[in-house]
Amino acid sequence: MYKANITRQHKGAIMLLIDQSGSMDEECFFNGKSTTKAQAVATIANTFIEEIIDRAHREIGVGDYFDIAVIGYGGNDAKSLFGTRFRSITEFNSMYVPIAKHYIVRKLPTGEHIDFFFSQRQWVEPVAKGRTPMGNALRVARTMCNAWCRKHPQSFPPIVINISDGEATDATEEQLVHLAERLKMVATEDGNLLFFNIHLSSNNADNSYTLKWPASGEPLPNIRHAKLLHDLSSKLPPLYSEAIASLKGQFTPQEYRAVCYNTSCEELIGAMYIGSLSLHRML
Amino acid sequence: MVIIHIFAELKPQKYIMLHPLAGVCIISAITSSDKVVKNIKNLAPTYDIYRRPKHHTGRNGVLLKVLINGKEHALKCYKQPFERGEALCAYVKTHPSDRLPSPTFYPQELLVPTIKDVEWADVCTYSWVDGYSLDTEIKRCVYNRDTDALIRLAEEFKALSLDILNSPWRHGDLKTENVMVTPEGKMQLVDIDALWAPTIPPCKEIGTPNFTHPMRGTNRDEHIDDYPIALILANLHFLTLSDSPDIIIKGLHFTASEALDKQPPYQQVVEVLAHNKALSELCRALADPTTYKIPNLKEILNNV
Repeated sequence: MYKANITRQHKGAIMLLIDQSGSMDEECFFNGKSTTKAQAVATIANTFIEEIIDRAHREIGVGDYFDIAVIGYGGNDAKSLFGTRFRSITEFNSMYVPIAKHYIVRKLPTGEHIDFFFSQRQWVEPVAKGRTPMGNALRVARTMCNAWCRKHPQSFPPIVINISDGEATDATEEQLVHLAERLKMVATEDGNLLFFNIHLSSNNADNSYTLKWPASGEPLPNIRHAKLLHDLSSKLPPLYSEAIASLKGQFTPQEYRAVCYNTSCEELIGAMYIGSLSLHRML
Repeated sequence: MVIIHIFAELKPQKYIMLHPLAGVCIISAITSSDKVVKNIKNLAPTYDIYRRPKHHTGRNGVLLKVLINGKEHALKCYKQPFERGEALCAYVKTHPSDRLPSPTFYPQELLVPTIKDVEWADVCTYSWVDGYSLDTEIKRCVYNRDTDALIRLAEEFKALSLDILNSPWRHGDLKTENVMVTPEGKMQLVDIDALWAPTIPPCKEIGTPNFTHPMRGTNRDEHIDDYPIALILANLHFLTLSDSPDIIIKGLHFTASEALDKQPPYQQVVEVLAHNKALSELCRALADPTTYKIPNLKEILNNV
């Protein structure tokens, strides 16, 4: 299980679930400057898509190694931003989307600031409005991933990364757990779908406790929402253990859960590294 | 003078740019300011038709086509310290070969933004090799059903292989994407990070699965290129005799695992090459599950 290499015959799939509720309008610190969480997450998502395209770039063009889907949930609705199915990275590469110039501000020990510029295609726009229909997002995700797995039975199973700063407003905890269980049952012959939950911290909440890739049996905080996200998330196969152990400074890799709680926007990038380890299986 | 001051203040550190956005960070550093480059002078990126720097993002770093003093070079910026860089480049300089690019190693050369900070990244520059990879050339020939060109590729690859086997070094990650075919038809090796030589520290990478025998594992010796040489050569000779449209997608007709499991694509090659004793011997060696070594490879190649 979880042994399939990612090739053009056996593509990989990555789905991002992005919270676009009103709370994502909150300010955060990202790339060395103040911005909104919605803008930071959109930038990370766009850079992430660009990086996957770059990794699959070969001499004669972009190789069709990956399919990507992005589901935005906010207001009363959860919807796939690019139609009802996964799109190949060659489709992403040929989409006509605006290009924005971004910059990363970094302060040197001398006190001098340097701006690092980069141009970025904007597949995902920053949105922050209304409530948090996460339950609906899980339903849409399951339908799309199910269809993808039927089409790619021998592939590495889809990776679904849910990025959110709040609690679902359209489902009870029990309903959410049930929906996540159903999502995690979606599988290819190589294994079940892997569901990651990355929770972004809020300025007005208690950020003293963070939970990052807890090992099996590791005590959880007495925080209801953290426990819920833990239960929603997949147990990760050994493929991930070494990288997470190294990140946590542990000598003995264990079985970890695909969850991070109270993560800053900058830490989200590190979390995405773990979430996207399947990229390394690309030949 | 400010620049020198910055460099003096920044402490070298072990950087880890393993996050999924590292490629963008490296490209942003190359294109942003000459303040972030320590020693390489007059460095400028080259751009594609979309005004993006010409680059390829790999697992270990980003490779860019750049101009240094107006001359084309390949520049590789590493996501993690390239610990063998110094020794490897020194080795290639003292063992120059027409088949290897000429590298220069710059430890902690490029200042790259990381998730929260900045870190110095190791850089290696290489003389630029014009042309297309063997992978692309094979696909082009198969697409155009250009048997004559395939025969020339097979002959030149045999010459390259004999040059490798007659040298004291091995490439270490030999695959069709790491062999450039120049406009004159000559083959040159690129991406030499995994180069093996008896006097330099061994590379930890385990090669590319489609081209590597599983028994190779972490073994590093003069037989490290035997299996991919045999695999590529058998594929090339098969293609000169039988055009397979699958190649456009697959790159090779059969891979290492298909040979070891004796799957249909491999069996097809065995049948087609059965008339040639030397090529049949190569095919047999490719299906041997016990070893990655082909001790009499040079002799076999001379008889192909």
